[in-house]
Amino acid sequence: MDDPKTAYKKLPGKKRTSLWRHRLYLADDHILSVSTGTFSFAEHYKRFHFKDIQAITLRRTWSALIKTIAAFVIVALLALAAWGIGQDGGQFFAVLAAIVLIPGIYSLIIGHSCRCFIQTAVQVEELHSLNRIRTARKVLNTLVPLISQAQGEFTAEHKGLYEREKPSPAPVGQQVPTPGAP
Amino acid sequence: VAKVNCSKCRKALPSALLNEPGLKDCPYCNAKTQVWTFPALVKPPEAPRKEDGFKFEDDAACFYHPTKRAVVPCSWCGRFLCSLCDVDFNDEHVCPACLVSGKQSHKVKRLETQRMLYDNLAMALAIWPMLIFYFTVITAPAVLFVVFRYYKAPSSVLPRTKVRFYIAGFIALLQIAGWVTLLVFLLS
Repeated sequence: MDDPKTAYKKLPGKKRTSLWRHRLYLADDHILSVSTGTFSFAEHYKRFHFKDIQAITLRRTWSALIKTIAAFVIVALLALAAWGIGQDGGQFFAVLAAIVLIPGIYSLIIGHSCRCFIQTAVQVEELHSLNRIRTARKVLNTLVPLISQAQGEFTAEHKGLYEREKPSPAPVGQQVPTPGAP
Repeated sequence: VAKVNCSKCRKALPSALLNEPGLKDCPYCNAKTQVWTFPALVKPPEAPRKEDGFKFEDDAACFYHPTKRAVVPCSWCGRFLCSLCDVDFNDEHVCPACLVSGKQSHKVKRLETQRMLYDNLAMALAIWPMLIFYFTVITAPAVLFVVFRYYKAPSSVLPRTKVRFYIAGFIALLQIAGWVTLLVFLLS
């Protein structure tokens, strides 16, 4: 029954909210997704074994861009206020503008945001720590060869099998539109 | 065969989008998406094993189902198992009872989905009450209790030192020393 000690390697990317911290770790045969509760003092684990992973989906989102634009608008307003008030009270607004500018520039540097999902036979789970495209690609460049090594390559034959299977009909009122149709 | 759905509109993505380099538009919602797929996606479900069936006189019986033929012994406890009771775990054949006992005794890390971080709890109990110092009368002994009670409790499955326990214990001792000094000062 002895459980061999699993060596985990920390993967790039993390997400921190007020309630949770998310990270990904890599083991020999699986990925470990760790969510730590800020107030529950507990770690929650989800393991995705390489041989069970069916697909990984990455979708670009606009949230980071919107936040960056908002930060620059605020910086502009604060700079305007600092310039308008002049030397006496303006310094306060200038410092405030600099403080807001730092996360704005950081967000610009780290690039577009995204959401990444991993699919197995029984679940589709979001990998919260992969919330930037650049980080996600870096991690997936490591993971995809490992998964392919465990399962083999997804060949044209597999693609044919996927095509052959028709998706279940959408419920009434949510009919799937034909691609390219107006 | 399972389908890969768009994470935004939840509609099944066409095969043309699978394993394509770069972000492509979802045909239904135009969300920029990239999909990596693997053979497990189109793998058919496992067919029932040939050896599965009812037991004859000379056959070994399953420990849990005496009327069924045993196909494999449990790798951990050695009990004979039928195909229904045989769980493939880490390339081993294990019976459900061993898995349950392994999970309950924290001996099989891979089955655990949650671990309590008592060292974080001790640190929080030691630091946060200092904002309103009076609370430390209660929380400092509580920290010491957590440190001594849970020092040997299983911590994270990831590598983690016990340093938080030491720091929390040290802070709690300082708080207690502070209160004792204050009490002595007031009484004298």
